[in-house]
Amino acid sequence: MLLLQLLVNGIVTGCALGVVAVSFALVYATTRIFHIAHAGVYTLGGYLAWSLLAHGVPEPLALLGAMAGCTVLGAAIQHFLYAPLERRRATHLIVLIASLGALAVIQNLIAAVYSSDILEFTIPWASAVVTLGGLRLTGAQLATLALSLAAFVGMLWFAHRTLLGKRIRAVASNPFLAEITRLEPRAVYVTVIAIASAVVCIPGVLVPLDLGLQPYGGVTPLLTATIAMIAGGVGSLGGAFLFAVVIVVLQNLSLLVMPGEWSIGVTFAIFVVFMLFRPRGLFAAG
Amino acid sequence: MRMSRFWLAAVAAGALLGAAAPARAKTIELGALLPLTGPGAVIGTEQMRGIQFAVDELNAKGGIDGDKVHVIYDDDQAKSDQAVLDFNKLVSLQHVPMIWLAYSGPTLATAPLATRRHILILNSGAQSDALQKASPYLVNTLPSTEEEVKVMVKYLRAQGKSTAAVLYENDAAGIGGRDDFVKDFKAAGGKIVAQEPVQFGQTDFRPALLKLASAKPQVLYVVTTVGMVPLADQLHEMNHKWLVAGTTFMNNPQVIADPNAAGLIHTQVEANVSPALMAAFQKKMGVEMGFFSRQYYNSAQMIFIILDHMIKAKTPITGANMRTELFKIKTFATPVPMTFTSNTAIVPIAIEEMKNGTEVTITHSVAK
Amino acid sequence: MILELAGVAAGYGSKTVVSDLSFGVEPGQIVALLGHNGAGKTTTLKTVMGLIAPRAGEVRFDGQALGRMPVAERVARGIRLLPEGRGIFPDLTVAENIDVVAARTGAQGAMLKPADVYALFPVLDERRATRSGSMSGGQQQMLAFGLAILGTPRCLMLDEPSIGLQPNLVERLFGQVRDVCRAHGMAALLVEQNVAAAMGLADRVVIMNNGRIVFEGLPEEARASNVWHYF
Repeated sequence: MLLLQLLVNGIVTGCALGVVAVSFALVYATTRIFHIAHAGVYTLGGYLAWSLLAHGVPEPLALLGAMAGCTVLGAAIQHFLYAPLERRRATHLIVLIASLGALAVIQNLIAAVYSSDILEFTIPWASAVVTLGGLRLTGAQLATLALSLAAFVGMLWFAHRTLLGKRIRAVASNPFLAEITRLEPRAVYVTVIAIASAVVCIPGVLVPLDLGLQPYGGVTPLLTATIAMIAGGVGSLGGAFLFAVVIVVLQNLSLLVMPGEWSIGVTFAIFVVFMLFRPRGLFAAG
Repeated sequence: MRMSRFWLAAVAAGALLGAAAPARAKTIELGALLPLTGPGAVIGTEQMRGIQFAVDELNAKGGIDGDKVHVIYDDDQAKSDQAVLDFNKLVSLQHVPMIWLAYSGPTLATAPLATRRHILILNSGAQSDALQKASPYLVNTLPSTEEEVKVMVKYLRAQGKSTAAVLYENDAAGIGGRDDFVKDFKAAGGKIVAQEPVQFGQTDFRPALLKLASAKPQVLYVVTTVGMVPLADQLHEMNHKWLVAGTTFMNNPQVIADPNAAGLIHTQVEANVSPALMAAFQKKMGVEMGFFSRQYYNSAQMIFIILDHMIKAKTPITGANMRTELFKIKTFATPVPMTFTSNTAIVPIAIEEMKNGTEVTITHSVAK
Repeated sequence: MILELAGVAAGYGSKTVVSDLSFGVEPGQIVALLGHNGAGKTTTLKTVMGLIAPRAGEVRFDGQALGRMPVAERVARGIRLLPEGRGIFPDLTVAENIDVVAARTGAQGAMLKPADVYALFPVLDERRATRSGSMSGGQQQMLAFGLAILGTPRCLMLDEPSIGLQPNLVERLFGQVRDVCRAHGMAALLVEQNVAAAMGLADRVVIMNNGRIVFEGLPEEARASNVWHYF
C-alpha cells in the first residue's frame, strides 16, 4: 500500500512536471534558447491565479486569466530580451545569462509584491480528501492529474495535427530551410514561447494549489524538466513527459530504499548516467 | 555642464558637513543580520520589527542618556556564506560593537569571527545545541532545542507514548533537534521506529510522511522551520492516528489558524509581554506582535540596559566590554526575565496544543 | 531577364568573397554556375536569396531592384533555393513537409500544388506518413526538390543537388528540373560540382574563379574553350 501510494503521488507530481518539461522542451527544440526564465513564468502563473481568486474571480476564469498573463510575459521575454540579443548575434551563453537574469528579476518582483512567505490557496475542494481503495488523494492532486494529462495530450495534438504546430516543428527541425521557405522562424519563436508560457501556467497553478506558493519555487521543477528533456531526447515531447514522470516516481520510490536527502541525488544520477551512455537522450529525433 | 557639476558637488559637500557639524549627541550604531528575503523572510521580518519597535520606543523617549540608538539591518537570506560577508561589512565598515543574528547556520558561521574580532553576537531566534559552545562572544536568549526536547520527552513518556518517528529538516537546526530527541527519548525508555529528513523550503512532505507512517509510531516528532501549513494539511490528509509533537518552530500564526492543525502539540519558550505592549506594537506596526518580535524586542531591552550601565560608567562601547557587562549584570528584568549563568539564558518552557484556531497551554516548566 | 546581377560584390565579415558579378537568367532558361570549391558560387546564391546583403551592385528580379528586401518577401515573389544537403524537415513526415511549405508559399492560384509534387514523384505519395529523415538519400532529394518548387517558383536556385546521389538518380532529377522549367517557364540557376551532368542540362554556362566570372556562354563554347584549367 505504501508502495502504491508513493507511486501514485509520484505519477501525479510527475505529470505536472511533465507539462513543465514538454513546454520547456518545445521552446528549446525550436529556438535553441535555454529558457531558464520559464521557471519565472511558471511561478508567476500561480501567483496571478492566487490574486485573481483573492479578488473573487471564479476558479476556471482565474486559471485562464493567469494563462493569459503568462502568455504575455513569455512573449515579452522573447520580444524584448531574446530577439534583440539574437539580432546582435549573441552567443548561447549570453542568452542563457540573460535568461537567468530575467528569472532573478521575476522572482524578486514576486517576492517584493507578495512577500517570501509560503502562500496557501484556500479552496475547500482542493484539500478535500478522496479515498480510492486504500489510496488517499486530495482534490488538488486529482485536478493536477487530469489537467496535466489533458495539457500534454493537447500539446501533442497541437504539434502534430495543426498547421501551426507543424510549422513550429519544421522550424525546430531545420531552421535554415524554414527561413528560405517563408516559415518565418522569428515570428514562430514568439508564438512558441507564448504557447509554452500559457501551458506551463497550468502546472504553475496546480502544483502550488497542493503545495503552496513560493517566489523561488519554480527552480526545482525546471531542473527536473531540464533533465527530463535531455534524458528523453531533445525534440521528443513524449520523451520529455515520460521522463519527468519517471524521475519524480523514482524520487518518491527511492525513499523505500534510502533516506530522503538522496532523492534529489537520484535525479542527478539519472542525468549523469544519460550523459555518459546516451548523451542524445532515449528518444532523440533525427 | 562642468559648472553645474561643480556646484552640485559643492552643495553635496556642504550638506554633509552641515549634517555632521551639530551632531553633539552620539548615535550608537548596532547591527542586525536577518533573513529579509528567501524562505526565512517571514520570521526575519518579524524579528526586525521587534528590534525596530524597541529602538523607536527608546529614541522617542530620548535615547540612553541622550544618545540615540540606530540599528543597521542586513539581509543574509538565512545563508551562512552571505552572513559572513555581511558580518565583515558591518564590523569593518560600520564598526558596530554588537550584531543580532537569527537561524543556526548564519549564527554558527559568524561565531568564530565574533571570537576573533571581539564582537558581541546575540541570537534570539535559533536554538541549535551547537550554539551553546560556538563562541564566548555568542549569547543566546532562547534555550537550546535540547532543553525543549527534554521537556517534551518527559511529557510524552508521562503520557505513555513509547514509540516515535522523527521528521527533521536536513540542516543544523533540524539535525541537532533530531539527535537530541533520539538520544533523550531512548534514554527515557522509548523507541525510535523511523526518521526521515526533508529539505529547507520543501513543501511536499507526502513521501516522507508515508514512509514514517509505515513504521506505525505513536508519536511523530517534527523539527522543521518552514512549510508548517502544508505539513499540517498533508498530515490531516493522511488521516493519521499518531500524536504530532514539535518545538517552538511550530509557533506560526498561519498554522495555528489552520483547522487541519488541531491536535498538534509543541514546546513553547515562554515570551509573554504585557497586553499594553502588544497593543502598542499592533498599533504602530499594523501586525500582531509575534513570538519572534517579542523575543527580539526583549533582547533589545537587554542591550539597552547594558548600554545604559556602560554610558553611566563611561565604559567605552566595544563588543568585549558589552559582553563583560552582560555577565556582570547577569539577571535582566526585561519583559521576559532572563538570567545568564552561561551563554544561554534560563527561561520558562510550556507545552501548547493547537485547538480551534488558537493554542491552549498544557504544562509549564523551567529549563535549567 | 527574370534574374539579373549587375556588378554584385558580397562576402562575410571583413572578407569579400565575390565581386563584379554580372550575369542574368531568362524565364525558362537553365544556367549552370560552375567553378571549383571556394569560387563563390554558394555566396552568389545566398546573395540572391537575401541571406547576405550585397556590398556593391544590385540584384534585379523581374526588372525590379531587390535592395534589402527580406527573404520571406523574395520567396513570396518566386525566388526559391534548394539548399545543399539539407533541403527537408527531417523530423516531419513527407506529408507534413509538403503541407507546411505549401501553406506558406502557395496561395490559391499557385502554379504547383501538393498534388503536382505527388504526381511528379509517386514514391512521395506512397510514403506520405513516413518520417522524411528516415528515407533514402534519393527520396529525400526528391522531397527537397518538391518543397523548393511548391507554390509559384519563377527562379529556382539549386545548390549542388547531385551530391550523394547515384548517377541514374541524378539523371532523373535533372530531367525533372528540365521538365518543370519547360512546362512552367521557371528559370533555374544550377550550382554543380558534377560538371558533365550540369553541362548536359544547362542552356548557358557561367564559370567562376576566385569570386569572379571567367567565362559566360553556351555549353558547347565552354567545352571548346580553354577554361578547364580552372577545375
